[in-house]
Amino acid sequence: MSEMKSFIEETTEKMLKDLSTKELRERFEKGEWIKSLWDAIQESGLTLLGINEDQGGVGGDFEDIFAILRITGKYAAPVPLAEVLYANHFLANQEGEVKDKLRVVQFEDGSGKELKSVPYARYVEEVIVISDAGYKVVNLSRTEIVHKENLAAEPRDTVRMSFQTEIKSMDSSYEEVLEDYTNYLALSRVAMMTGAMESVLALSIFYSKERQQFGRALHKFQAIQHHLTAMAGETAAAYATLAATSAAYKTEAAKEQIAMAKIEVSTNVNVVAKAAHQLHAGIGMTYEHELHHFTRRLWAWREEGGNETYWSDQLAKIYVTRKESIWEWITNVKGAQAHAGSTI
Amino acid sequence: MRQLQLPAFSFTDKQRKFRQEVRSFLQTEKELGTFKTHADSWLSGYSSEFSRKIGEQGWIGITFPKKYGGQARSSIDRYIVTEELLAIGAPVAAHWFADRQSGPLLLKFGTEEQKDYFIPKIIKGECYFSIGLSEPNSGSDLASLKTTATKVDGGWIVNGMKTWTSGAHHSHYMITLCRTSPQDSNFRHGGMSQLIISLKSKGVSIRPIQYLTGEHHFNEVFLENVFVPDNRVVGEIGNGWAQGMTELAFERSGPERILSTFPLLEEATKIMVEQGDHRGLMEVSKLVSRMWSLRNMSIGIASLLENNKDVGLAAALVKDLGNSFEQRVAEVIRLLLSTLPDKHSTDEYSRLLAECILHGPGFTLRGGTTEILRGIVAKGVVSV
Ligand SMILES: Cc1cc2nc3c(=O)[nH]c(=O)nc-3n(C[C@H](O)[C@H](O)[C@H](O)COP(=O)(O)OP(=O)(O)OC[C@H]3O[C@@H](n4cnc5c(N)ncnc54)[C@H](O)[C@@H]3O)c2cc1C
Repeated sequence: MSEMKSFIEETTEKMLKDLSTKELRERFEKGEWIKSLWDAIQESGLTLLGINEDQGGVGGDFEDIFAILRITGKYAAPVPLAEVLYANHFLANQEGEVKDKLRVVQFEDGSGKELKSVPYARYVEEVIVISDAGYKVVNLSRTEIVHKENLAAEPRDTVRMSFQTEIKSMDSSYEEVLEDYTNYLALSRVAMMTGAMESVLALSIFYSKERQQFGRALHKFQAIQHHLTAMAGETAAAYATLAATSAAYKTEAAKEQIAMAKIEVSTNVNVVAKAAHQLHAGIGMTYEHELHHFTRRLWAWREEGGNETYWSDQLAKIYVTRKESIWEWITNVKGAQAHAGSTI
Repeated sequence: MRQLQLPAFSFTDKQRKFRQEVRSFLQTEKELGTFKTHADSWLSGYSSEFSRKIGEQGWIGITFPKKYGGQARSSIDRYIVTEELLAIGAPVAAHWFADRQSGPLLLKFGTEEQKDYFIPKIIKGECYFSIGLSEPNSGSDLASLKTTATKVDGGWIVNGMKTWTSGAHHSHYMITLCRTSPQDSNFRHGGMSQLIISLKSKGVSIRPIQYLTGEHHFNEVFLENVFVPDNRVVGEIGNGWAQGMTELAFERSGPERILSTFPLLEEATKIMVEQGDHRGLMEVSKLVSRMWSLRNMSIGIASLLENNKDVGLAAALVKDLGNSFEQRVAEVIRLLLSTLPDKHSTDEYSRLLAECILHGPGFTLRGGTTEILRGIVAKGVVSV
């Protein structure tokens, strides 16, 4: 963790609290790109976080990045910060230097013509298309873009490319870059889901104190207390998991921890979303109330960067090939197996 | 909400080496046949011989001050020992409460004489304590308890009854919460005191309550005109409730709220790896992820406790989530590897599965039921 972490956390929190409001998110959903919000984010240097200064960045590390992404989730900020950060990092690594731009990466699936699920394509300037052959920078002003969106109405567009662009070679293989991006995306979503869970909990606590039925505030009812506890528990678990995983990002243990974090948090977002909707009842089902800004994101993000099935499949493969027991791995201490097994 | 934000903690190389030392000791003992792996071994695994061995290693009361024979090590070192003991399912029930609760209680509130007398014996693994809280008519509503101590010359005369007292048939002492002044409906938590009752005292009779497995783990303890000398009062008269609450965060957030069924998970995984059962291992990975996540919380709390931070709310959450997880392990595993669960089986998997299923319901009861814990958490979150 860099020294500036708590400082940038605080300033980002303050900035997004002021800027990423319900009204602004509604405008975004009507089809407006919220330039003021993006400009503020860019000006504060967040889009270049974790990139060394001599490469055009502002310094910091991945722990800082995931801390900031948690806050973007907490305020459901309608911006592709996670994706832009990755694209900037990618270019800084490949080209030694990067100039900030609204850009994202996408992986070519073989057809070469169509890119699916490109985040915010309708608003970004360029897409870095990564394929077996290398990477190319595609300017999106010359492409056909078909609007698609995830459950939270975040753009996940289809991009059709009808022209040739220069392909540059990469310093890593396609598979390595894809794996790196998948890991990054997974942990980004963990961070963002953690933040969104915090907001769902806060909205629920607030409502349980404000709304009265049978002459009592909702939180006085034991059944409601169980909902609050379930939400608080999963939110705290997600936070601790995020903290542990982002501290281990870029270490040997990262992949497995990311897999576990993504499984865990994806599984539990619906404990939180479901309880929150039950507690809010009718009002929570309206467009008017902002609960859905967070719950729809939770449902969308659990699918992105690999869902539980994807990561369980990965882990199961690792278990079969790995020589360590679960306990050795969890404790990161090898040697004597904690539990020798079937010898009676 | 700050109370829900637990920090990441990473063990130092020294701590990892220590873990290895503990693990290889336990592994060797297991291979020598000193003990057999059991689920929920902190309730069911009694062995005074083993407790003494652990004491010889210096691993009981490891955080206790040197002047009483302890090692004054960190609560992280204690965490490591506890985890390794539970993961291998070692018989730790005998010294469990003395190490976790009674020792720290005496160190905090006890007199110098009490510390000198009890702590060195606890550390050696020779002096065991039980917890005398619950009574037939006072379970969740503990503050309604009826056991009474009346002042006499030189001490107190105790009358009443405790129940569900784990290990009382083996323990030397019971920290007994009792009423030292009449019940006051305006001050429900006042008027109670903690007395150290020697279970060999005249007037104490202990009757086994058979566990649903047919085994003997807990008891009824009858107290008839039991004399307790003044020097066996813990802390202040009338302050018993508050004193008892201080250790709750340790008690609720420790590895024993997560790992009671871990031996089953480890054994089942081993079998599935041997069989190359990919589908089964996918389900296992979800359980492991949950365990890892709860462990992150639990260690985060341990590291904050080391710095005397208030983590009561998060600790109650770990117990609630951890206990549900412990139960879920058996429910998921039984469908992945079919067998006849049998607590007498010579097949380790079958035996552990039986233990986990049969002990399961107790996890969400002991140390405060799920319902009560959730009430505490909800009150905590709405008040900030
Ligand atoms: C394995 C095991 C070991 C134990 N060891 C010890 C020990 O060593 N020492 C000791 O003192 N005790 C021990 N106990 C006792 C344990 O602490 C009690 O069982 C527990 O506190 C619940 O009390 P009870 O059994 O009287 O249930 P009750 O309090 O009667 O509860 C019955 C049910 O009602 C619910 N309930 C009660 N009040 C409320 C409320 N206000 N709101 C909602 N629901 C409520 C409870 O959650 C529970 O589901 C042990 C218990 C077990 C299972």
